[in-house]
Amino acid sequence: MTEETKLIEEAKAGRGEAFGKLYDQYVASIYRFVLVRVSNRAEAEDLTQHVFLKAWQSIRRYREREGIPFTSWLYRIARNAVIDHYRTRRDHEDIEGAAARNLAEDFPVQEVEYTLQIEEVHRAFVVLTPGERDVILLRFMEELSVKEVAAILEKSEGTIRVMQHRGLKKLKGELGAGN
Amino acid sequence: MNTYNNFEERLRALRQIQPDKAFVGYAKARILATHQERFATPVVWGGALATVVFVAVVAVTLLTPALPVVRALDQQALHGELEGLGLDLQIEQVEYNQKVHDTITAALQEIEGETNHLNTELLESEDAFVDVEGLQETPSAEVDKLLEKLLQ
Repeated sequence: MTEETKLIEEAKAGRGEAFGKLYDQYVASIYRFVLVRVSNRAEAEDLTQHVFLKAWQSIRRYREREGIPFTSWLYRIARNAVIDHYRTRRDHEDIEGAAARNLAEDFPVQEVEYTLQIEEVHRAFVVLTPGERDVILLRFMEELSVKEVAAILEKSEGTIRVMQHRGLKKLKGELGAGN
Repeated sequence: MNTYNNFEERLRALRQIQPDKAFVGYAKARILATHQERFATPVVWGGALATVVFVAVVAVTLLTPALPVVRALDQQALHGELEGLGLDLQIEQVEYNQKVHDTITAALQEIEGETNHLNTELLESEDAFVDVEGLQETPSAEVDKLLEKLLQ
C-alpha cells in the first residue's frame, strides 16, 4: 500500500489531517488547471476550493480499485466544475473570450509574466476543440501520462493519442502561420 | 527560432504558477471544517436488514394460526353447510312424524271401532308412553282430535 493510498483510506475514515496532506500535494496542480481555463484569479480560487470541498465530502465514493488514479479523479472533478461554471454563467466569457482580457490586472506584479503566457496559450488554443485543449494542457502543462488523461476525460488511451496528434498539428499550423 | 517549440516550453513553464499561500491555508481550513457525506456503514445496513427480517418473521408467526379460522369463517361455506343441515333435519323430522302419525291413526281406528278386546287399563298405561306434546306439533289435525277424544 502506497503512502497516498494510506492517506486516501484515512481520509475516507474522516481524518481531516490525511485529506489535508492530499490537498497540499495537489492544490497547485488543480489551481493551475482551473486558472488556465477561467483566466481569473478569484474565480480560479473559488473553483479550486469547490473542487477540494467536493472531493473531501465525497471521497468515500472514490474507488482506487476501479483503476482511476486519485489525481485523475481530482482533475475530473475540476474539469466538471469548470464546465458547470461556464454552463451556469452563460453570459460569462469562455476560454476564447478570456484570451482578450487583461489578466495582468488579476495578478501581483511578479506574476505578470505568467499572465502573459496564459494569454498567449489562450490565443493559440482558439484553433483547438475543447477536448484537444484539455489533452494538450494535461499532457504538456501538467505532464500527465496518456493513461491519466484518458481517465480524466473518460476516453480510451488511443483516442487521447489521436486528439493530441490533431491538436499539436493544428498548433504547429497556427503558430507557424504567425511567424 | 521555432515558435512551436517555444510554445511547448511556455506550457511547461506554467507549471511554476502557484496559488496564493493565504488562499491555500484559508481554503484548507474551510474545507476541513465541513462534514463529509454520511453513508450507512455495513453495521447500519446489517441492523436495518435484521430489523426487517425480524418484523416479517413476527408478522408471519402471528398471522399463520389465524388463517384456518379465517377460512372457516367464510360466509358462503357456512351458509352452504347450514342449508344442508336444515334440509337433513327436516327430512328426518317428516319421516318420524309420518311413522307416528300412521301408528297412532291405526290404533285410534281400532278404538273407534269399539273393539271389546281392548283393555281400558292397558290403553291408559300406554297413554303414559305417548308424547302428547310432541304429537301436538304434528301437522295432522285429525290425529289431535282423536287423541283428545280418547283422553276424555
